[in-house]
Amino acid sequence: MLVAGIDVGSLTGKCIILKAAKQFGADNIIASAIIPTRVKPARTANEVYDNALQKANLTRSKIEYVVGTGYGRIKIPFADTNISEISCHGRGAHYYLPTVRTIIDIGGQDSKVIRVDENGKLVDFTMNDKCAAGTGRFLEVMAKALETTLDAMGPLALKSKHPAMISAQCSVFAESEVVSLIADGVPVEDIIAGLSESIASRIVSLVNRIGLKEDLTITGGVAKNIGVVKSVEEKLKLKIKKVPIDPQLIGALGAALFAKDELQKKAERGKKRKLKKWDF
Amino acid sequence: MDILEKMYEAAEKLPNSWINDWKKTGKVLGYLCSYIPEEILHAAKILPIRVTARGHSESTLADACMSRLNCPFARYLLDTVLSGKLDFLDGVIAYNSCDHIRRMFDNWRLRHKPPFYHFLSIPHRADELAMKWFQGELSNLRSHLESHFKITISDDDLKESIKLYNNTYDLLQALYDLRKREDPPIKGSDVAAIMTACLSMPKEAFNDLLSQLLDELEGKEGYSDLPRIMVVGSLVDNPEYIKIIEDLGSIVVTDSHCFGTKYFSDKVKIEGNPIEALSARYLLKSPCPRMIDERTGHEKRLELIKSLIKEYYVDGVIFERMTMCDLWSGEIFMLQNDLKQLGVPTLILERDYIISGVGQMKTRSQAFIEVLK
Repeated sequence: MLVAGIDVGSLTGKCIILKAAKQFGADNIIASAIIPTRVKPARTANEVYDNALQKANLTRSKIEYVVGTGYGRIKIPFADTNISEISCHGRGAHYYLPTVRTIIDIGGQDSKVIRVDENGKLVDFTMNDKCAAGTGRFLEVMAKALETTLDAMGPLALKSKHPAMISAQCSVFAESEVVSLIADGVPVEDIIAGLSESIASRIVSLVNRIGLKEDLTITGGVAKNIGVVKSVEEKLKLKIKKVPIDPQLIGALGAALFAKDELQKKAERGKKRKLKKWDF
Repeated sequence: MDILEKMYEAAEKLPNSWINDWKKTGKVLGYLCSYIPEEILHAAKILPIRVTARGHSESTLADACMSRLNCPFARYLLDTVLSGKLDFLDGVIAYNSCDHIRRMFDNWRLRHKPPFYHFLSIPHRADELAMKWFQGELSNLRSHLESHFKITISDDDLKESIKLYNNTYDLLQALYDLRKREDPPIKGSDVAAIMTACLSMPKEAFNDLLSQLLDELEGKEGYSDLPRIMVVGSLVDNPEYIKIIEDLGSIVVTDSHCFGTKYFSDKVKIEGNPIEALSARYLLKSPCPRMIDERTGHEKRLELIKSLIKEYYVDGVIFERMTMCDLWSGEIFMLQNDLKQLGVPTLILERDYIISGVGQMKTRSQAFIEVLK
C-alpha cells in the first residue's frame, strides 16, 4: 500500500512516499523531496509531490492516501485530509525512537515542544509566542547579516571559545545587536555561538513549560544546526537522541504514517464518542 | 429573518437597529464590565449597552494616546470612541477593573468629553466592609443618574428591573443547559452571537427572542461526536473567534468569561433592600481575576471552572489570552497548572483583540483538538 505525506512549511516543502507494510514488517520510505516554499502553498505542494513521485518512478494514481501537514496544509488540493504538524512531528519521531517522549521541533517560523505517549500519540504541546525569535527564519536573517550560509553556521559556532552575549529575543532587534557586535570586531564564530545560545535558551524555557521527560529528540530544519543542538544539550544536561533520517523530513513522515492509519481505520468508522465523566 | 440571524445582526456592530429605535425617545449609556449593575440603569429607563470595539479594526487614533504595551482591547475601544462611532451614547459608566481600562477612560473623558460620566469604584474584596462601600457606590450612581437625567428611581422600579433581569439570567441558563446534551443543538459560535446581542439591545426584546429560540432548539437534533471545549478568559464578543475553533472539528459547550457564564450564572435577591441585593450579587458573582479575597479569589474561580467542566462534560479547556492582559496572564498560568494536575487537557491561545494571525491560531487549535480525539 502506497501513501504520501506532504509538509508545506513556511520556508520549505517536504514530501515522503511510503510503502506501508500490510500488517507486519517494516514500512519503507521509497522517496523523499525538499524544496523551497513558493508563494502559493498549492504550488509548493504540487512541485514537491511530483518531485518525489518522479524519484520513486510512480504516478499520482498509484498513491492510495495523502495527508497534508504544515503551515499550508489546508491549501493542498490533492490531500485526502490534513493533520497539524504538531501531531505529525510527534508521530514521525516516535516511529524511529519509540522511547522518545519529548520532541523539540524548530521550523521556519515556529518552535514547539511536543509530548507524546508510549504509542506516539500527541498528549500535550507548547509553542513559541507569535514571534520569529529562535526559529529557522531568525537564523536565515542572521546568516545574511553575517555574510555566511545556514549550513556553515553550525560548525562555526563550535569553533567559538567566547560566545557573545545576545540579549534581544526579537529577530529584528537581535539583528541590530549583531550589526553592532560586527562593528566592535567580535569574531563571527563568537557571534554565531551567541545566537545558538539565545535560541537554545528559548527552547529550554519552552521545555520547562511542559516539563522535561526523556528521551528527547530534535526535528525540523534547525535540528541540522549542530551549534544549536549542542547548546540545548548543555543547557538541559542530557544527550539528545537523533533520528536516522534528515530531521527536516520528520513532519512529512508523520503525515505519511497517519495516511497509513487512515487507510486501515476506514473499516472501523462510525464509533460513537462517549461523554467524559470527571470525578474530581 | 430567523431569530439567530437577528441575534447576529444585533451583535455585529454598534449601534444596531434596536439601539437606533430606542434612541428616538430614550437615553443610552455605555458600560464595559460585568460588575456594573445594568438593573439600576434599566430602572432609570435608560438602555445599558456593553460597549466593545466590535466591527472596528483600526487603532491609529488610540495609538497616539496609548502605547503598544497597552491592552489591545483598550486601544481598539478608545479608537472607536475617538472616531466618533460611539457618539450615539448619552454617557458612560467608568470603573476600575484594570489599569489599561482606567487609562482608556481617562482618555475618553478628557479627549472626547462624554455628556454623562460616572466613575464607579468597585472593591477588590467581598467582605462586609467592601459590601458597605459598594452599596454606597451604587447609591451614588443612582442619585447621579437621578440628578443628571432629572428622574427618580424608586425601590419598586429597581425591583421590577431585577425581576426582568433575573428572567434574562434564567433564559440564558436554559440555553446553556441545552449544551449539556450529548448532542448540543447549538454551536458555541452562535451562542457567542446571542450573548453579544443580549448585551446590545433592550432586555424585553431580547428575552422575547431568546424564548422563541429556546422553543425551536428544544427538539432539534444536535451536533454529536465532537470533542467538547470550554473557553476561559476575559471576553469573546466576536463569534468568528469561536467559529475558527469549531470549524476545525470541535464544539464549544461552555465558558467562563464575561460574555458567558460570568454574566448570568448568579441571580439577584428580590426580597429586601434592592441596593443591598444588587451589591451582594455583583460582588459575590462568578469572579473576575481582579478580585482577591478568599471568597472571590483564585480558589473560587478554579472551583467554578471545575464544576462547569463536570456539568458540561468538557474534554479540554482553551484559555483565550489577550496579549498584554495583566490580570489574566497570571491567572491563566495558575489555572493551567491546576487543571493539568487534574488531568484536564488545556491550551493557551494568545490573541489580539481583532482576529489576526489566524494561521497560527488554527495550528494550535487543530493540534489541541487532535489531543482530545
